Amino acid sequence: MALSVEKLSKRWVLLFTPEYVHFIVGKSSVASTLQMFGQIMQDRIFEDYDLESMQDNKIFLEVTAELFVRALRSTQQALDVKLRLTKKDNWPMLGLTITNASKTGNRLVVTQHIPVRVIQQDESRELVEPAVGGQQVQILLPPIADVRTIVERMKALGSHVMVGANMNGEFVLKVVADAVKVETSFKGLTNPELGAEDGTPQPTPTSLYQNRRRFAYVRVDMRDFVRFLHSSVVNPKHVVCCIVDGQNLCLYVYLGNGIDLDDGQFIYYIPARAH
Amino acid sequence: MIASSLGNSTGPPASVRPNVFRAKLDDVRALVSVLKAVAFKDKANCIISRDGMRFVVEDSHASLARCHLQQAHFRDYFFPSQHGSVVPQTLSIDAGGPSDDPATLEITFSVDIQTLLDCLTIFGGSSSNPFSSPAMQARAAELPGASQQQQSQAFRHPHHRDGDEKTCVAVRISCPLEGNELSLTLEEKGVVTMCQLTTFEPEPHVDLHASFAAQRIVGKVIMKSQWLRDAFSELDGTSDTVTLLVSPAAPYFRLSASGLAGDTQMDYPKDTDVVESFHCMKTSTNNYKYSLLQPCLRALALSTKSNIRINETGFLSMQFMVPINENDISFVEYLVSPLVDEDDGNPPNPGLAP
Repeated sequence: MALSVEKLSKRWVLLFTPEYVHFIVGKSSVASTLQMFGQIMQDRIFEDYDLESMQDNKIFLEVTAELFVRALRSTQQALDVKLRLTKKDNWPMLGLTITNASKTGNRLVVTQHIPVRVIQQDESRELVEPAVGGQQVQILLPPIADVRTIVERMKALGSHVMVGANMNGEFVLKVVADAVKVETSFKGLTNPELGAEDGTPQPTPTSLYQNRRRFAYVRVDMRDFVRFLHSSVVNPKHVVCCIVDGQNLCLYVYLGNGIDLDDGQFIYYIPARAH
Repeated sequence: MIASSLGNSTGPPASVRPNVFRAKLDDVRALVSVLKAVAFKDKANCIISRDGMRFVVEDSHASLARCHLQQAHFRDYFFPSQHGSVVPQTLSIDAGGPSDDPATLEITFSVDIQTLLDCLTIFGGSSSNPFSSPAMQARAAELPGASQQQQSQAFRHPHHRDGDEKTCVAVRISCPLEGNELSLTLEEKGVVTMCQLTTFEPEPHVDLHASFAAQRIVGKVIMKSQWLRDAFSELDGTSDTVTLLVSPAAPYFRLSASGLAGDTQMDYPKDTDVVESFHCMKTSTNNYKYSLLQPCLRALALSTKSNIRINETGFLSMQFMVPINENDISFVEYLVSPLVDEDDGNPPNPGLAP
């Protein structure tokens, strides 16, 4: 997961709450306006989890991608890993205590300290998911690796890409430039019904998309879309794409085996760009 | 196979629009291979005729590359004839002038090669050769400057038409007689990509072929491309000029250059292990600008055999045999004019040792 986020931004925010660990790439930390909110239930990662905070039981930490990922790499063969928020010389740190077995069978304990910045309440208030309104089209994307191959070629042809879908299993990518127009269409895809937070299915919004063949399109910056693709291809799972015509593009990457909110999800918000 | 619904999305069916060239290629890689072999400039002239599709690229009026995909290589090939429609004079833009004879009718335009290649490879396929034997890919990877991608691709098994790894991407090409737009429809496993490329006025090219054919050929060598590749890779990349000597006596065929790192010289014997055929009427030594020769390395890397011919004035023609699928080959040709000695306007004295 850290690898996915690393592709998006050099700095991101980790939010620890009693139930979840969140990865956030928000407005303030990124040059472009691509935002990502990812969450995973803490018990999927940790055996013991202890959290106390004055901020409504939330701890927001800003980390530098490279340091975090590098530290995590050394946990790959570890027997035991402990993650702790501590202070070292008055600097807040994430201490990573890793117990490894050496070649001779002895235990080696390594501690890494990752400097972090604790985000105070007023700043953390800005790290909220953008409001998404309007009727949307939902579609389960084809394998991300395939989409990436095509968009890599389109990248050379134009600066923006039109992403479109309908409720009839069709997904379209289009690039328009002075000298060339390229449009790729995928058919036969699934349109999932997105449920509410607690998993109860919601009725499909009516009117606009009663005509299932009607497309919703949004025009986004090519680089934003490519960054999303690079990020999600690291851990390819089901990706649901939601489009509000002309407004925004949300991509839900589900980390579990099915579309199950509880296993964790990354939500990418890519704003529309005007013509 | 392309779904039948596709034919309708680009306009009325062919029976209603007879003035449109249409062709279908089962495997887009055939076209990609020959195009890559000449893709050393931004734009190429594309000439579509009854015989097939040709692409021509010229460099500073001194060198020219061309490739050809014959109509026999296509699954479908429909070149419209003129009858029944009003044909404006501007239709045939080739040097012969307007003609009512359908046999000489051609559609000519200029197109951005890289954009065309990006469209043709939309489903994958990379900057290195998409279709060649593993041995050739391995050799291409050994060339100095071979990309990381080329080197890793060399270890991957090449794609086969009826293969397990990758399905073929088919392409439908269409272009109206006016030549104002080129449309491509590519399909892979049910996913369809449609491309429309803007075309431009064809660039006027110097007829180097006429210059070449005007004089008799004094030297002709056919050799395996591998050897020529090795020779070029030995040449110092900082050289300005490359000298080619052909002679009926030893050293027969010599490639030499001098650059910042020193002088290099490669001699090839006349024996048939290396050289398949060798004919030389008289000794001829000519210099060529390295920068004009360098683009042909592209085609050389993709080819199995090279046919080198030099005419009386030192014009060099190199024809490279490039495989376009398991069974077929196509020829890519490079023509390079020699550097002329500034003093007397004649080619360098062949009697002088290089």
